[in-house]
Amino acid sequence: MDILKLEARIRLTGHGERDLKKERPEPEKMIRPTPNSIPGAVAASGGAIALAFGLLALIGWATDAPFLASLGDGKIPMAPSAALLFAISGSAILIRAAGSPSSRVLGAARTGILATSALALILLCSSLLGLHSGVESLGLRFSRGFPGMTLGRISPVTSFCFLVAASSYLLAEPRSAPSLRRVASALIAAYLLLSVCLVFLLGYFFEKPLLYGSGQVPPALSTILAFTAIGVALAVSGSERYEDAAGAAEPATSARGSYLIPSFVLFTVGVVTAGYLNYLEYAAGVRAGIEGQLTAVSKLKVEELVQYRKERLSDADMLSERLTLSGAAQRFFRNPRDLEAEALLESGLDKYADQYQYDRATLVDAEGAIYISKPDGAGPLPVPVARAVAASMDSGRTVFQDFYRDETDGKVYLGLVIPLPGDGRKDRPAGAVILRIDPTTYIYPFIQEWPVPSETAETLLVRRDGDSVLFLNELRFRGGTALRLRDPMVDRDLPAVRAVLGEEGIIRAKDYRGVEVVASLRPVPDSPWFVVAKIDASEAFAALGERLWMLIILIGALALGEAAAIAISWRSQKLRYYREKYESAEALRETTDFLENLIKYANAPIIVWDPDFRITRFNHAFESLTGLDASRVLGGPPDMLFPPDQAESSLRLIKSTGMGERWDAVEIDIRNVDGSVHTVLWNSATVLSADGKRLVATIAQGQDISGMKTAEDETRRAKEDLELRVAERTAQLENANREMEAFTYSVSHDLRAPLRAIDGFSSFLLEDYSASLDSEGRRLLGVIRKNSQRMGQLITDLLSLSKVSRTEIRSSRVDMTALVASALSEAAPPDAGAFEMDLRSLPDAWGDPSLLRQVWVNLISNAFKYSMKSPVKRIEIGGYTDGGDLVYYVRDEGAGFEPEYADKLFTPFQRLHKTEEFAGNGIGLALVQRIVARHDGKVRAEGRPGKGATFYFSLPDKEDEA
Amino acid sequence: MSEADEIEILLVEDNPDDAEIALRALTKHKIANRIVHVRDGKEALDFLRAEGAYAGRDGSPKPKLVLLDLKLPRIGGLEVLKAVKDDPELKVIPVVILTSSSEERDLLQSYRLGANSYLVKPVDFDKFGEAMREVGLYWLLLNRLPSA
Repeated sequence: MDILKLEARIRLTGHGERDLKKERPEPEKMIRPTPNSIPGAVAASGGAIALAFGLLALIGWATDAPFLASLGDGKIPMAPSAALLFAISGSAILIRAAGSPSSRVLGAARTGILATSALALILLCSSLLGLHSGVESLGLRFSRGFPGMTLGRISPVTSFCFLVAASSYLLAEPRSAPSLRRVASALIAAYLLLSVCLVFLLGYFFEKPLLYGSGQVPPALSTILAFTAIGVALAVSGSERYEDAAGAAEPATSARGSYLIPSFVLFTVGVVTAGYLNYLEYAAGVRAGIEGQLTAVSKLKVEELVQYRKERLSDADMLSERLTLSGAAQRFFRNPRDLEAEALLESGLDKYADQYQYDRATLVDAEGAIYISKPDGAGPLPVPVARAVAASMDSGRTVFQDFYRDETDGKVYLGLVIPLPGDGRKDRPAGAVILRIDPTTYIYPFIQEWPVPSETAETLLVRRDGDSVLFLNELRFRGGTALRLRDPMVDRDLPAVRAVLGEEGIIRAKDYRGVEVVASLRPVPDSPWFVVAKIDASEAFAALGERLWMLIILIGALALGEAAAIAISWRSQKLRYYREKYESAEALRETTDFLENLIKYANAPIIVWDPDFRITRFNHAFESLTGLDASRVLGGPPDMLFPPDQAESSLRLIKSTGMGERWDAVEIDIRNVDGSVHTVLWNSATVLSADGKRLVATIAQGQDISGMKTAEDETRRAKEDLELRVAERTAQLENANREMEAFTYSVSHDLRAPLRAIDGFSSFLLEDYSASLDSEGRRLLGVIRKNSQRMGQLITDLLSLSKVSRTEIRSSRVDMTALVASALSEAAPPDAGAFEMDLRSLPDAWGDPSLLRQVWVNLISNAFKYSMKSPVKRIEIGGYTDGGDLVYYVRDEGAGFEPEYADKLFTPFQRLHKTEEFAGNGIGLALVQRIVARHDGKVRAEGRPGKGATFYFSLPDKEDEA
Repeated sequence: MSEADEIEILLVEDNPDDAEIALRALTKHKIANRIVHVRDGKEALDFLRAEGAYAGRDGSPKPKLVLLDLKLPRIGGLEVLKAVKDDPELKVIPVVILTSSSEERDLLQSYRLGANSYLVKPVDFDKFGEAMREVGLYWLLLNRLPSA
């Protein structure tokens, strides 16, 4: 089972959602970014910034305000063509990123980008070919130029960047099915752009703007910033598209991929560029150091040599003075046997020879013949010396004899030829003293030495000798060069040659070994000498090499570390992703197991069918319900489960679930193989696919309600029966009531009439025949009358009593206090004024006001009546709440009654007092009791003979039921 | 004098004893001069309309008061009442129901049909007489009727 495919969601919804469509979740979001997302906002701002830069620059060009185009002095301004292209491309990006533009607007943006790329391509080619046209500056110019900068030209870098940006934009166009490669390419292009921007930005940042001063036009700072904005916008929107496109494949890692790797690349590019620029600075520093050192050395050497020569010349002057003064030399020349002169001269020469500067002092005459030479044992004058003597004799001045090689001992010497003046000062010199200098004592060591220990540094002393350069000292790397090595000056690049040709200062060239050196050339003034202080480039810049390696290693380590970090996080994400998948698959399996068991062993019959209505699951309970084995049922339609006469309707119900209908409580009969039919109540649930779009299966669970059904039927029948009977009874009752009413009606009419006649005619008799009647006769008639009246009253009372039982109670809220007041006015006898009335406040009751009034009337009139004969004439009327009841009472201090007979009080026609004592026929209280009973209340009486009585009646508080 | 011929009260009562008592009560207190007693509803209507047995009677002036018992043979009291009150000519005559029934039903119906008053005949003759006196006093002396 493919774990990934089976991530089905089982929905056992509790409420019926009949429409499958409603249960389907939202479809995958479209590739186009929504305007409210942050990436969209970032991309839009990027486009807007680029547009702003472009417009700003154009305005700057148009209004002759260069700073708008270059963001500061000393920086190149953005070319007008670039500004225009920025305006176009910036707008295109802004349009695409912000809002949901119509396809027409989008198409216009696309056209703009295409035009941009075409123009950029043309400009790039022309820049590389060296052709520049007015298109680049769009004909605009600034009023003042900038030294050293060609304005208005577009850098090939800029053109290239526009191409890259355009391609990124076009590759990332929203399409219905973007290929991952396209989108990835767009992303790569965006990051390429960003890398370029980063390199140049770093250049500007380190104040070593790249390409300034080179053959190609560098990109302006404002251009780079605008490209950065564009690059960010394209990268952000490209990442989004990449995520969307790649999301389906590897959801966990793609998001990281679109940001991590490019960021890594960018970072590395940045670090490398920064490192390189730093290295350049360092190299410059080192170079400056070396050059400084060389210059210092050469300067020093030159000064020293100058000083040396000066000193020697002053020595010569001093000597010349001394010998002349003594005149010894002249004497000696005239008379070589002048021993005194000879001794003087010899001691004098000795002295010089002893000095460390000179190693031989020789006295010669004007022809060059050696007279004295100290130390002894001199050979003949070497040729150069003889020549120098001759020159000196001619000029009469000291000649500084330059380096020469003595043939006799093969060594190199310099010399001073000091002429001795003749007799007269203007005469030709008589002779000369030659002071020989051994350069190895001072000059050579001095030249050789180097202020700091160095392996390759040396100083050369050279002079021009005809058409070649003569090396005057021993070279470090070649022996036997002093005065022997001669360069024909064919290779004009040789430092010695260049020095001799008059070049001065720092040069880089290949020396006599062919090794790259850095040299400081300097002539020694007033001499034919030239000093070359040189050091091998390899040694000079050794530190650079080290530094470079260090940087490389550092960057490499950083990059590796980053790569490792990314790789680790990638892997760990992948791991996590797969582990999650595994865990969810495990969980799924558990759930599946759980469900399988649940279904199988559930008490209720459970069945599952697929979208084609074939049974896929059939649990044990269902098996026992139908008597069919699951194997016989699975894979087939459910027809066989139903009794034949219901099969069609039941199948229709089943088919309705295919539309997404859910059964909440549907009755479908199931047939058992033994022929019995069970009524089962079903509810169902729909199982949808993972995307919620398709129906996968329907589950139905049933509850055998056959037993319940029969019970239901019986209950229903019993109910119907009951209702019938109730109706009958009611009819009967109504009948009885009606009969009763008819009876009362006739009673009221027919019984009263004869009574009236009896009473009436008796009174006529009394009136008309009073003369004929004696007192007894009158008394007898009186009795007749009295009795007939009484009977009339009895009839009235009986009628009221029965009416109370029949009357419909119209309940409403009753203000008992007001009712009592009204009852009082009716029930109070004429002498009520003699009574002390204590009326308390009464709680409102719920009942029939007229009936309740009757109650009060009866009770109150009783109170009055039975108080007639008592001394205390006091009636108290009150009421209170007692639990759920309202209790009212009437208390009098009248005759009272014997408590044993209390229960008889309320019986109709029962009296506890004699008629002579108190009038009345015993119906009042019966009426009270009946009325109160009809209100679901109770009556009660307390009393003692002669001590008064209290009559209570309670009514249930039906306030709540109101 | 026509006054002497004026019918003041029309008593509609079927029970002769009750009628005697009523008449006695009325005359005793000198309530009215001329009282006509009819014994059933038909006679009452014939009288009022000057038809039937009373055809040719001088119909006007109409009686000042009709005392109507409810329990009458042939045409019942309520029927008479309805006939009288539906008749545009007769409806101006005050009709006082005089009956032994204290049934709410009768009360309601009588008033619905337009009875001007409703009295229950008390058993006690003294009270009966008192009631008649007051009825007469009110309806014949106090109460004003249109002249026609």
